[in-house]
Amino acid sequence: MDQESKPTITVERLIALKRYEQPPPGYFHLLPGRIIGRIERGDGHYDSWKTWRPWFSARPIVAFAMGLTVCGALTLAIYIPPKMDQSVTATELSSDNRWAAASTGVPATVETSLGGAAWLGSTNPVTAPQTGDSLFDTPGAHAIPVSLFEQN
Amino acid sequence: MSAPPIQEPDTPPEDDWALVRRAQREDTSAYDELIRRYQERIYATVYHMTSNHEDANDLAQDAFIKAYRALKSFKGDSSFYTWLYRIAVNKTINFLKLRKNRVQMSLNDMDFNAEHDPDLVALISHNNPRRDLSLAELQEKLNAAMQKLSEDHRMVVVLHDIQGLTHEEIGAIMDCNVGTVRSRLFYARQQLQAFLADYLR
Repeated sequence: MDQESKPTITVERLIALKRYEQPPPGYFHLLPGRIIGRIERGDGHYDSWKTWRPWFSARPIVAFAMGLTVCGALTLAIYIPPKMDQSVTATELSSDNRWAAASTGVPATVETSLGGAAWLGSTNPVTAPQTGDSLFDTPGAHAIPVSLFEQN
Repeated sequence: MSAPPIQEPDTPPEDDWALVRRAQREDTSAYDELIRRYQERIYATVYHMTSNHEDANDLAQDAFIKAYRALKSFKGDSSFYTWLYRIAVNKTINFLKLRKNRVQMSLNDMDFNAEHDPDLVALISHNNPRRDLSLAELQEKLNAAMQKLSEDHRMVVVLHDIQGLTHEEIGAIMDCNVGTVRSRLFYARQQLQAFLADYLR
């Protein structure tokens, strides 16, 4: 058939044919019940995720990158310990030094609360140097025999 | 510019208003009646915008639910019909903007009355003797052409050429003046004419 014999149709009439596209039978019978059911369940108060869902669906790379970032942050948080606080107590420090000395064999020293350096890592009391003044060298610091007290 | 309020042509506005007032007092049976009145038009508008039944189903439900939640703020400045349409239109345009160009068509079947439409009969009988195949092709071509338009242009075509609303009604729904509606319609038809040239010769 040649082009001339075909009927002319306007674009408006062609588009209007879309009116014949109809949802499945019974759809409009069920729809009000579904909507009322959702209203009674309290739907529609918080639909921010539903708003963004198509955005994420359209951009799977962005969704993947966001997921990867969250997983990475969680992994870092688990495996990398937090930075040590500078103000560590003397007890914690001496404990650390003791372990260090035991592992390296080098005696470690630590500043005690008395002001002197205490030798650590050695179990021999003889070889351990005296760091403070001895009681026996201090004049007037000699022990008084018990018998003298009894006589007084 | 705010467009003048429109009146729904088929239903007396008093009836709608009475139902709205009952629904504002959380009477869901009144709202059920309002849904039954407008569900076909709201669904059809969303469906022709998205070319996807599942999306249209979700969006139509969401629009009715959102309207119910906002019903207390409805003062009756426009008709309920215009107000509801505006909610559905805004929801659909927002959805489409977020979806961008990811068009996944899920088309409804053609009503059996289509067989008797003189335009359709003429088109199918002249273009292809295999009627079913040609009908499906035509439907797909129409929807693909519609999806090539911008959201605003497509909405004007849907509301005017498919839904049969007047320019004034469309202006009230889309919150623009009649001149804008006319120019959008003119431009959209030109675009469609180019996309559907095979069927218009």
